Amino acid sequence: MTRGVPVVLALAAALAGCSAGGPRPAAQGAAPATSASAPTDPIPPVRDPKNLAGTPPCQLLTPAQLASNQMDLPAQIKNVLDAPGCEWGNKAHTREIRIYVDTTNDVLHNVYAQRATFPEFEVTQVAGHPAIRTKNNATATSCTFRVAAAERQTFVVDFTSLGDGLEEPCGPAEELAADVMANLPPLKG
Amino acid sequence: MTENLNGLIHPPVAGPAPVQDLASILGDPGQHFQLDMDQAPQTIAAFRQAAERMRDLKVEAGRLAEVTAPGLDAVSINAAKEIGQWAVSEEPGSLRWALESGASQLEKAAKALERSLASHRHTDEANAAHLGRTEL
Repeated sequence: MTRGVPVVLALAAALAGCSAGGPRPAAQGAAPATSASAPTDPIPPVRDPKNLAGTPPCQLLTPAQLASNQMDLPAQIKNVLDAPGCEWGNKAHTREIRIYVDTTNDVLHNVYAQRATFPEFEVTQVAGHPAIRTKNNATATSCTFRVAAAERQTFVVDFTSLGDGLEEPCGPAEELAADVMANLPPLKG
Repeated sequence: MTENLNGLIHPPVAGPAPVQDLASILGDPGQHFQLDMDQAPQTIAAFRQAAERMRDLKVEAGRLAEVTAPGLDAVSINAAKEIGQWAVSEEPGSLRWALESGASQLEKAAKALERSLASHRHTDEANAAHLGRTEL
């Protein structure tokens, strides 16, 4: 029995080698693999870069967009550590929106590297731009979209539901992220 | 009173809902505590302010996962990875989980107080109206 083990392992290795080296039939509709050794980037590139640097965070949403989201309290400048940010709330105390901006780090790749730590994690798109959606675990009341406006220009939208009815937070968060994207000018140069 | 303070002092624990937390104490009709109605709006505002500050801290902790390692050496890269994992983890008992739970407890407590205050005012108004009718 003990002599049989190396033989089985050698055979398995040989079969695995054949499988890895030989041509594989592509699945119907799947794009052909470009290289077996080059893994594809999980975060797609930004195709239509927007300029995030020139707009103060409290002006990333228009008064009309804020009103349609029931935000009737004045904006508060609220930086998140080194990142300039803004927060909005309402008198009924049912919703809270935070937006902050990062023009230094490759936020999406950095967050992707920590994906195993998030209770809910999804690579997605907002208005055609690469984004990451995460949702909290403890109370499921807040949802965060990190959206790449351009290379190393990312904005983060965090929506928290404070109401008794536990409003699903990811729908409003995604709409707000799309609103911000629609307000940004194109990146020139 | 000591039992009530337990809810304020002890942090929430993982697993099923704790038997005694701040919101359940305030919402439990079997519990008795004194509340100066004139001070209730300030108390509600203070609870909400504290909840907001806890949410601020939660967002700040999450921000640590977004920054790039300060250097390209293995120690810097590993440190950034470890700190990021620690910062964004929402496992029961983690920093962000505790902040989220704490903020949620304070929001519920504020809402419970708000309801109590509204109920108290309604009763007062009803009594005043009743007394007004009987005096006539």
